[in-house]
Amino acid sequence: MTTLAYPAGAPSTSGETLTVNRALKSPTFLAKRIVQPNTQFLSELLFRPGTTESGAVIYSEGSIDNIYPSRGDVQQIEPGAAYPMVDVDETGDKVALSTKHGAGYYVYEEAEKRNNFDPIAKGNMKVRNALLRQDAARCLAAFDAKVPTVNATGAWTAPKFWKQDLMRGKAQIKGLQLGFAPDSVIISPNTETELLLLDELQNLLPREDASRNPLYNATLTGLLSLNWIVNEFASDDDAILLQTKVTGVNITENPFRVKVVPEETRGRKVVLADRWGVPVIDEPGSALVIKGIMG
Amino acid sequence: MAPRNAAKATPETERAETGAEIQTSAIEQDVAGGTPPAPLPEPDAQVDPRESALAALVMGHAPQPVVTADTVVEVDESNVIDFGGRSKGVVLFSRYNQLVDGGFKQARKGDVISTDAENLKRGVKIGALRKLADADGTVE
Repeated sequence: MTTLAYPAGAPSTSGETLTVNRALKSPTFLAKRIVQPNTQFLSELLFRPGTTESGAVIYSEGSIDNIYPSRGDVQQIEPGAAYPMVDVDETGDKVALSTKHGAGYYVYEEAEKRNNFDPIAKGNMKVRNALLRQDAARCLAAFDAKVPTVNATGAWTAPKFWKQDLMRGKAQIKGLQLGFAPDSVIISPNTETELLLLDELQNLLPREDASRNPLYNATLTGLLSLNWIVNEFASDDDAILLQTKVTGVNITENPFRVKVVPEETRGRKVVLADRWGVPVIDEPGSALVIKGIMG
Repeated sequence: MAPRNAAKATPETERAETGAEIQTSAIEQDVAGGTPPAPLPEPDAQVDPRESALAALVMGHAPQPVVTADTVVEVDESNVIDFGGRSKGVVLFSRYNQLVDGGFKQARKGDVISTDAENLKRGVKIGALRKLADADGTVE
């Protein structure tokens, strides 16, 4: 006996054949193909999440220069005596605007009919890379614009300087006495390579433990109790020390999404991928840009 | 009546006739491998600097990233901090770090330091220091 259900259930697919036609009818499937779980936007990795409905976000930026009163101080107060007043040094709120960044590509009906996946595979890859690059560029530009800078004591290609700069940097951030605890450092792949090639590192790490010997396990994971974020868009000459989820907020108006718009008059479909938002650094004191690490 | 007819006529002229060549936009031509897209307009010098700075921030392609070194620093040469040399420079970064005789020394933004020529040269190259003239007005 057959049973009739209303509304009809979800469509089922038979076989394992993935067709261009099916992919174009599933924008969420395409979205997962474009930004996979193992590729992450730098802004999402570094900053805490935030949202906006209006497209604008008003935020107050933590001060790093005037955290203690420049006039007045806490004093012992005699009974009935006046309290010493301190300057407030108020600054206005700041505004950041959420913007839409995206890209698209065409899939022509010829590719759809012939089940040619090349346009989708190439389009997905280029859109993904462009989105990640653009997001990283915005994040890194925000660091350059707002975060305190310090010079490296020496090129990190020589021993000891990388430890010196990172530990001093951590101490400098903690020295602000604002409760910041930097936990991550952003470096470029070239910088990572230079550090891994340091003889000092091989000599310091236990050779008997294959999981920690850089010869067998070529990562910087766990060194100096820092989370090493290697980003291909970071500058070779800079290292950015920061406290993730504290330094900034990643304002998202619309999360990453994919639309497929048919253009039947031209015999093609347009795959559009975009995300709306803006990364904002509101606690610049919790980060530090170390410049000149390669010379 | 004439203006209404004229307004209606405008979309009619944009409609492509059968077999007519369709004008494609610059982006479509670029995708199709045709003529390159028109270059972006040059930034207008009269634009509000705050607007251009914000645009540079959100677009992520700042031509000159606004780093701390670009801000004006008041120089007080009455107190020169000894960093093991005779070449004077003013600190432009938030902090300036240097190893002097194996020890760590740090100066703040705006401090005047006297360091050796090699470290001054490196500091200037990074943007951490600005070279200061000597008492006789010459720059080393």
